[in-house]
Amino acid sequence: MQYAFYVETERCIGCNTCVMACLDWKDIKPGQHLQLRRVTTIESGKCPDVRLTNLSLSCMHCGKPACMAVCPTGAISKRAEDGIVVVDQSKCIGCRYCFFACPFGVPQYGETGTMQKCNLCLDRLQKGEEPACVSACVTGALHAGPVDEMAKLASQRAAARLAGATQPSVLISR
Amino acid sequence: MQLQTTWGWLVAVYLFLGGLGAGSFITTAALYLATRERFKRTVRFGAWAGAVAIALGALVLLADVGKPLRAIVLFRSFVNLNSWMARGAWLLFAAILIDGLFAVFSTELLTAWLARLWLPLASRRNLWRTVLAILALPVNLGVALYTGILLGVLPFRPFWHSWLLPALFTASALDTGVGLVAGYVAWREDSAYTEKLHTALEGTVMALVAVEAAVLTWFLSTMQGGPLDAARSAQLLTAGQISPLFWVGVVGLGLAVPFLMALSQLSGVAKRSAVAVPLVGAVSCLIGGWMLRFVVLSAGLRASLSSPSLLQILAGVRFWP
Repeated sequence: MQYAFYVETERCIGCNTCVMACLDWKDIKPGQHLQLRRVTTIESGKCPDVRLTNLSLSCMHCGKPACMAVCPTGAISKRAEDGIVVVDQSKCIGCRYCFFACPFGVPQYGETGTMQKCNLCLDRLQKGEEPACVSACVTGALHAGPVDEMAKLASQRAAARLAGATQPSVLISR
Repeated sequence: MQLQTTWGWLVAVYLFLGGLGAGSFITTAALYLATRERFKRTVRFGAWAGAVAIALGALVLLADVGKPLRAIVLFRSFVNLNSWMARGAWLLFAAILIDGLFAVFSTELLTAWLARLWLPLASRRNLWRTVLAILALPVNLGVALYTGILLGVLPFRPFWHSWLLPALFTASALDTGVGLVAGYVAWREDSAYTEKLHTALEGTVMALVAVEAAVLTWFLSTMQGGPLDAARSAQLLTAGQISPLFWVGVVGLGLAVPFLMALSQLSGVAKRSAVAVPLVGAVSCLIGGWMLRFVVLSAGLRASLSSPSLLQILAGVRFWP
């Protein structure tokens, strides 16, 4: 099974509540220079036909994680039961090789020196709760769950799974 | 344009020292196998330089990672042998061991001490050295190649993702290695054949500089004509933010100066007795070698997201419906 995120960009207002909820749940303090979820606003088109797209993204929990393949210590693994890519903090040496392997620039290194990234709030999932970002989203633009459920949700709209060699587990709708 | 800074000048020092150590040891091992006892001083120097440079490089890498004390326990931290970082760590370890042993057997004082431990260690030292030198050649070549492969295998860094990068770093490794040994020969070697050896080494330096220049040109022109992000990276080097470092450091200090210094000695323009000329050539070559790693690291931009579905989605979202 593979868990995935589903982001409805036309609902996202770029308020960054998901980012704050993530920082809060992960107990990341100011000055640690960590941000496991980011909202990017992408401008496209030409005046007067201007487009603004807010896109909230974190680790994509890829089907074929490039970070895992290059990790010298085997600290990065992909859980068989839900496809979530996790980092064993007791094994990571902080060499930053995974940062260069990831096509999305996801891995970050805080004060601990080891790699930090989204684990889809595994602790909350195990209690049957949604990830912090999803449950905090003001407009209901963020969803997380098994990829086929997400695909069913997304089928109501023009949506697609993000394409890429690493098979990112993220669906985006317009 | 934002340069790559996650791996900074310290990693460049590591890649440089790994290459330098491998290059100088390959030169030394080849020299020993070809001439045996003729150039004792140079062989001793080159062996120590190789072992110490690679060991220093490994220390620099350790200093740069987030958890050095965890990383130093090789057999626990470098266990994923599909990762080139792990393969490289073990290659470095093997090279330090082999180069170091060869260096010990090439040092009279230490061999005398070994003789007291167990006589055959010292009495058979030339046999051990021959075995070690033959073993060391592929291992050190591996270290030189690895410094480029480490970056070359990363598909989402288009400027690095080419077999030409290991080729370039290996050419530079041999170039700096021979340059260092040549500098030492001019400065210290007192064998009756010093003149001959010096001429041979300076000739090798010229040939290697020419090879490195050719590989560098090939690499850059491939990148210029490659994917968009690779071309942007190559542009950074030749005409962008880091072009002064590239033209002065890599092309000037790393290629032109060593070539001209070697040429001036071979052609007899520079006096044979003048030590300054080969030393300037050697030091300049080393600075250029480090600069090469630094500019290549700095220009290694990430491939911009070009997922067709993402582009399609973004193109479809209108601010005013």
